Amino acid sequence: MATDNVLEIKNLHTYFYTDDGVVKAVDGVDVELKRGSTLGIVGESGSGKSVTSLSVMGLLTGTKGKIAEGEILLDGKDIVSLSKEERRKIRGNKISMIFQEPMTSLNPVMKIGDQIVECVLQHEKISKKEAYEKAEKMLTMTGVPRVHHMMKEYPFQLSGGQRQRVMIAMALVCKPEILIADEPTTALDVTIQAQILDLMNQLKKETGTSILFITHDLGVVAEICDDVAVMYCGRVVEKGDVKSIFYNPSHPYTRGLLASIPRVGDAGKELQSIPGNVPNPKYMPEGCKFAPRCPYAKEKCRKEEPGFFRMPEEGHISRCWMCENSTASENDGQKGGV
Amino acid sequence: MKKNKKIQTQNQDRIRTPFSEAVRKFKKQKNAVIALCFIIFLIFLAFFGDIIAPYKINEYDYSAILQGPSLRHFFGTDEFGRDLFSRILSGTKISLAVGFGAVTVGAVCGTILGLLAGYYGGIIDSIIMRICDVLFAFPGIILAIAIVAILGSGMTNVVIAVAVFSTPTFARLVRSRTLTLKNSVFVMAAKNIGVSDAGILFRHILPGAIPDIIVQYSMSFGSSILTASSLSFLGMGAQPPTPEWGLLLSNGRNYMTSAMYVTIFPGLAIFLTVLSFNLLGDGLRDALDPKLSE
Repeated sequence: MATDNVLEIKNLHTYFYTDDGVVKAVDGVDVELKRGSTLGIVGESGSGKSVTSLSVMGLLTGTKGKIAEGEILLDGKDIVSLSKEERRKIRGNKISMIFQEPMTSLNPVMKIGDQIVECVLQHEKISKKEAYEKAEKMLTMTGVPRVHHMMKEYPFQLSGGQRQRVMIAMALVCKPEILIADEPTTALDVTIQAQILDLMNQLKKETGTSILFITHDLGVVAEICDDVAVMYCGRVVEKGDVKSIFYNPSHPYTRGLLASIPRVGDAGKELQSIPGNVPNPKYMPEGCKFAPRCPYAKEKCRKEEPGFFRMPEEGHISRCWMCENSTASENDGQKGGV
Repeated sequence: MKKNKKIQTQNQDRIRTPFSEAVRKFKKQKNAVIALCFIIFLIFLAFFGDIIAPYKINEYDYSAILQGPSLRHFFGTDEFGRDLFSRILSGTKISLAVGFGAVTVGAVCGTILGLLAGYYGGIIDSIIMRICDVLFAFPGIILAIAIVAILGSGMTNVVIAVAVFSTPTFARLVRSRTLTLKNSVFVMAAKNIGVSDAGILFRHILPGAIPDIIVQYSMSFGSSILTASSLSFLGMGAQPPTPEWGLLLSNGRNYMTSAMYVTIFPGLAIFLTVLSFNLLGDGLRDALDPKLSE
């Protein structure tokens, strides 16, 4: 099945079975990652972004989490049903991931070079020497200085930005089709953030990797993403290309997020925020999950959960009753409803 | 050019690696350094003791039984006129070998069990840790006596017994370290690049547990020597005429009132050896534990 979506997540439900009940961390997520593009997943803490990425990586074993329903299609093939060993072969080779904290995501007692080489040797049957050369080449591509020395150094000898570059080298050395970046710039200072984002954009072009970019920073999204999915309470509330989301946000949650970005020139004005907190997953409100915090919430919102509604822009959909009048409901309407 | 080179080397010297930090911290502890020197001296004796010894270990001299310390016999002679100094010297080898063998076997088994228990959890963890709890419930020496009683006396069985009773300590220690490390981000990152379970256990988690293992190794070394000597003292370990320290002590017991030195010198040898291993362990712990910074 040839498709231009390299990754499709269909109706994904990831539940955590804890001692005091089932926590629905991801509750019916549908997103598609187009080949060679960048999809941003945006949301507050606790909106299910990271659990979605862990589900894709197949790293839920060992936790209480389980994919209860849904499919994850990699190149059109479902990977949820694969065995543990088959999933392991996909990791690093087809899908890899970089993390939020570059300070702790490298093994402190292994040399930089060895860590990248390890990744190569996991997936390719080549000699150690070839793997070393390949690792060195990849590290050079990430633009770190004095690569030759760095290959023999330990993580404590590098700065945060350098470590993140090493992580990126590790993630991309096997030319994966998908790179999942879980808030890769959050722990870095702003100048380094910009450099890392540039690097990811550049490597995306060079290696043809598609990126699933998880963040809560809409400024970063505008910088790097082609498409955006906004998540709230384990489901996607608005989805579309980056322009429609930024110019025509239709879901009150997206609007709230956009309004709470500090702007140059607005100094002195009070920063807007969305009142309240993400509800506890154990006590989800009935109807629209955002209704308790929504300034426009009506009676209907509190009773009935909206499905997706098509917006005027191509591919732009929103899960809000306010958009009901703009067009007819999307085919999958009440999915995930009460 | 030359100037450039010099700056480079200076920079290299200044880098503080975790290893150089540990060495620096270790050197600051006088007790531990002295203990280490003494242990190196003991290891030297273990290899060359037989050559240095002025007499053969089983050289009987009935004309000089139970002599006090003198220039001819530094530590005096025993009830058969054998030179005690020579016997204690060659006993070093036995005690160190028993300690080394038993603790190494215990450490390897304990480490593997601890890694498996900590990493996989669940039923594997329960089985391994409950067995360890059972072994912990016995006082070490009683457990060792029981094992020797089953296997029969002799030095090999002593090594096995001591290894069995030092295993659970390592298993528990490594398990707790594994539990912390398996949730660290770098282990997650390793999983992400598709490293197998064995690779994660031995390349990513085990190196993190090495400092704890080293400290415990040194501590167990002392107590193993003590347990092995105790078993020999009770007649369950080395058999006469082996110059094992515990056995020498046991023989000398009969002459405590008339010839005290026959017990004092082997006792002192055991005491100093165990003490220096414990002091070394303390020093290593202070040097290797990043939480105990000055």
